[in-house]
Amino acid sequence: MTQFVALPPGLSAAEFERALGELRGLLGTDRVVAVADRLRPYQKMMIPAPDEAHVPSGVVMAESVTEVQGILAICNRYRIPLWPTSTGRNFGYGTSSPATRGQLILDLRRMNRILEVDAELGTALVEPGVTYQQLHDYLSERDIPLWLDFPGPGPIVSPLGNTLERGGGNTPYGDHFAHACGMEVVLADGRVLRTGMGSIPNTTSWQVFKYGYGPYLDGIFTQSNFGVVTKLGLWLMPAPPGHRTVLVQFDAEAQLPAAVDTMRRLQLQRVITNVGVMATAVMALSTFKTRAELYDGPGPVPQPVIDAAARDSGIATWNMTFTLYGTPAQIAPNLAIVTEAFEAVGGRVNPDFHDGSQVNELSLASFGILNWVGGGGLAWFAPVSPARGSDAARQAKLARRILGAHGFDYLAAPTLNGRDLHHLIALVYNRNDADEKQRANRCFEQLVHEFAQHGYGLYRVGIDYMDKLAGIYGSVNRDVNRAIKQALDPNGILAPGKSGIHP
Amino acid sequence: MRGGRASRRWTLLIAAFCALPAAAQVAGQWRDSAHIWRAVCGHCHGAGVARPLFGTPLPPQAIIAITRNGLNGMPAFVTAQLSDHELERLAQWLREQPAGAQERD
Ligand SMILES: Cc1cc2nc3c(=O)[nH]c(=O)nc-3n(C[C@H](O)[C@H](O)[C@H](O)COP(=O)(O)OP(=O)(O)OC[C@H]3O[C@@H](n4cnc5c(N)ncnc54)[C@H](O)[C@@H]3O)c2cc1C
Repeated sequence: MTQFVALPPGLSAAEFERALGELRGLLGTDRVVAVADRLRPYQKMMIPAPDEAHVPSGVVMAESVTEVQGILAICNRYRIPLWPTSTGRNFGYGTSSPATRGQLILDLRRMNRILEVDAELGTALVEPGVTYQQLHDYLSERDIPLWLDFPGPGPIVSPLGNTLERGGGNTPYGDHFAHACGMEVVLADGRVLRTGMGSIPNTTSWQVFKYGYGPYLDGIFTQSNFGVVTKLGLWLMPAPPGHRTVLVQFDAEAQLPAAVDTMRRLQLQRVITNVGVMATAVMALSTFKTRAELYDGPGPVPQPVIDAAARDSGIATWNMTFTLYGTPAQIAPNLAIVTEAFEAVGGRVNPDFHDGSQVNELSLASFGILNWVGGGGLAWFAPVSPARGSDAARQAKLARRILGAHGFDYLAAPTLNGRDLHHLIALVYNRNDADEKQRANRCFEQLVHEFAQHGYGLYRVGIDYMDKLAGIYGSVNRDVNRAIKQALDPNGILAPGKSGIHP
Repeated sequence: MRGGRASRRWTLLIAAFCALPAAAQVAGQWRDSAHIWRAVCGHCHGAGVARPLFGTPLPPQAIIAITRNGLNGMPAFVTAQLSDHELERLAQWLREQPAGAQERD
């Protein structure tokens, strides 16, 4: 009998063996994995969670909707919890690992067809395993003038997986869920729902009109465990005739509120149409320097050391970037407007900056932040704030104090998007050092707790904090989610614990 | 899937696109090692984010083990994405590339 690394809760090894036998009958032996050395790559995490709490019992790989239905039928029969992933690269949130021990990972990366691209309407329909790189190559091989908006790890991650997490990127299409249109979802009982206009037989409009008729359902399949999403419609941005990326730098911490207020105004007026990313000095430094090169003492790198290193590299205390898109005739007056507005609040404006993520150039440059301390540890702390200077300053002060108290640097890139600001903070730490991992865990805990006390919640969180964050969002919210869960997945086999939703 | 007409439409579309595998990027679909390098590894190892690998003296077994299981900030690459055979060829290919060559444009 196989020596399993973990068993689905409530199943004996013999029962699990029998279930795997049925799964092998459906998928063949290669696409059912339960041996330790083949499972290890699925277990590598960045977050400071205890590894043993998130060990999967195995992995199954589907290549079609019919196979997903077959897997669900077997899992329902044996009551095996199934954790769906697209490309399984949810770095800094749990990567591929399930929220609870013993779940079977459903790896959908082999369902990777680009089913449709409409060059005129700027839409695409993709399966879970399609990566941004694959879609990018597809468009450029065919000279289709559409741009992609992708997250930091774009080349190796999935538009579908990222959108289900309501992730973001840096062009005007940066809010990915806002630019998704139409889903195909396999429900726990095997029925296939196509949302919006997709429910109409012979539909013509699935990827162009989101809402269809009746309740708009797509939202309930994001950050949830109510179904397995097997297709997603995307809206793609027409390649603009031109663009100009602008860097605005602020030397004093005290300038942060004015910078944020100015940015919000320009975004609400639609002068700036993409997100405004504001990197702290350490965040900017971390992309090409290591912490050890600057400082080898304990605790966070002292401010004077950071300031000196930043000055040497042309980096300021706050470094804001955004892009103006359009024809030269459109860009020129907008550049004049933003220059005047930011200079009026003491910003230094450089209108010839380059940031590939704002202009459709895929890269993994953001992985540089993992070199800052080394050791592969990263937890994203992503509180939402009103895009108001006073809130941004309050959050920055709070984050800096808590991170510093636990010995960590303030690597942040608050991202402004009109009315809201996602205050993205990378808690990077050495995951090979057990003490430091524990410290990172405690730090994260305190960040969540204190931000909640000030009325700030996270937009997304790692697998080990899902229950706690759901608790902060309150009992009525949880009850409603549980009621939907019970209606759609009565055996509770889909991703128990995802977003704090349990059967 | 229900709905005869809808699924016929799908079949047609799928048939149309099967002829054009859009640079598909999982095990068994890579064109060659250079394709894997360009789409994946080169984004870090050819771009100054992680150590250069062209002409690496690392033994193939080390390259394979690190790629499979990840190391520090480097993610793990599962068999469904890169087969054992593809990974072995990639390790050999990396060793054969001229060291210091322009790794990624
Ligand atoms: C350096 C760095 C930079 C990053 N930058 C960004 C960034 O700019 N923006 C951003 O959003 N993220 C960012 N991330 C976080 C993360 O890596 C990305 O969000 C990534 O896109 C998520 O992984 P994925 O696309 O493989 O999704 P997956 O891991 O496949 O999916 C994510 C989750 O969605 C659910 N899910 C996935 N597929 C399905 C399905 N078919 N049906 C039902 N449920 C499903 C599962 O719960 C799964 O855990 C960054 C990470 C790092 C390390």
